[in-house]
Amino acid sequence: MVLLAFVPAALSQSEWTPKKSNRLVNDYSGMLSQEQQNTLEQRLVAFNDSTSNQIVIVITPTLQGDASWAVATRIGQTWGVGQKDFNNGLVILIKSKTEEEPSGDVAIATGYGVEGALPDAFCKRIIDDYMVEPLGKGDYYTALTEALDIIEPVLRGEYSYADYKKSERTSALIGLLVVLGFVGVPAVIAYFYNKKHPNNKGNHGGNRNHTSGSYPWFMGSGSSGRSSGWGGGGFGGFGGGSFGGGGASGKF
Amino acid sequence: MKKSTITILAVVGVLAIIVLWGISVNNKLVTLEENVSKAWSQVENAYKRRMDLIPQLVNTVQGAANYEKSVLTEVTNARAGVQQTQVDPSQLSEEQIAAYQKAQDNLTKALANTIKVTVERYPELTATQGFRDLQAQLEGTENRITTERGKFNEAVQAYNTKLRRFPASIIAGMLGFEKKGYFTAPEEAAEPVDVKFDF
Repeated sequence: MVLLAFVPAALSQSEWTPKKSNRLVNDYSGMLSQEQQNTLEQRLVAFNDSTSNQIVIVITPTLQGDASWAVATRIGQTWGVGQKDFNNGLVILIKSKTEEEPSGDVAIATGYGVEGALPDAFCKRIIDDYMVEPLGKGDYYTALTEALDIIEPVLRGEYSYADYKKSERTSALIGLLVVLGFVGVPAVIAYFYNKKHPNNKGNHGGNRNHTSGSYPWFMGSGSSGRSSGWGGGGFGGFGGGSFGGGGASGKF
Repeated sequence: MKKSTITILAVVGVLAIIVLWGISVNNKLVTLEENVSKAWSQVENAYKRRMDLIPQLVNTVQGAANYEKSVLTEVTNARAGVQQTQVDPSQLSEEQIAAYQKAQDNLTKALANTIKVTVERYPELTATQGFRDLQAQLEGTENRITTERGKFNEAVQAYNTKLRRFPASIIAGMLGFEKKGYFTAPEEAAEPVDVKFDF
């Protein structure tokens, strides 16, 4: 069966999104064993560390009445899956069958940056040809690993970790300029101000303390932000990627 | 220091604060307007993507063995209607957005009908991988349109709110910032319209 949903632009605020977590594998239906979850999580963390592509898996017992693609896209957008500068995030959403909501749904949502590597028709084939059958049998793990076996190599070719590192250097340079702007300009003003008002000693001291206090703060926030994302081992956090509704969905 | 000097200094100080505040309101509005423009270009991209897919659909349907011209009349007419609707991206007024949306929603309906009829009449065609791929692309494009329209509405909402809220509204009026239009959900469809079909 094919479902073509023409959904009018929603202004409603009742848009539901599963609770954000700090993991890449989120099984809210209990369809995967702890061991399977850990294996998938390690695989996706390693993929994130080596390519900066972020793939998130969410298994949910409900869609709160919304379409699977819409929920998957919102997860991508609101969790910020993928790196901000590349929008290289991907969300695989599976809605498990329950007594209250008997339909089984699966959706792949692509971030703006991976739409080229994974066009909608390609996502649809991955769902139809590799996921629907094992999902119908309740074998979620096989459905996910088969999908990842195709998706990961494709995304690896889209762009390299080197591009990410290059952009990181650029943003560090911009950060330095911002620091100079924020700290340098007030310092110059303070310098000339104090030259004109040599008797205003108290103010001088206050200014200097403020300036020296803010410098390490800028530096500190910049470096801690980077290291938390690339600390090796566990997943460091979502990168703020953006989603535009690309991808495909299906039923099982 | 003389009393008059203090008065002059105070007046100059207050004026400076007002000017600085005005500049900050202006800059904030410019940023928000820029976000609206960006969101608008994404909306246009999504719609353009759909326009580009229609010739593919037309070609595919024309390839059916027992093809009749009437199947494609609605969609080609609706496509022509869209091409006649122009929107000035620097304005994005309520009237322009409403007219644009009307033409595009018309095309949405026409496309849904065409696909429905195609599936009914040409089952052998719709079973092919080529048609399934095309269908997936059309579906994804509708999803993109919905997503980008939602993001555009959010950007417009942020801009309009800033524009109309006192006291920024005084400055906004003086600087010539104008309210922008939203996409609205069609009246007859408060619920999502699902066009379902089997093949």
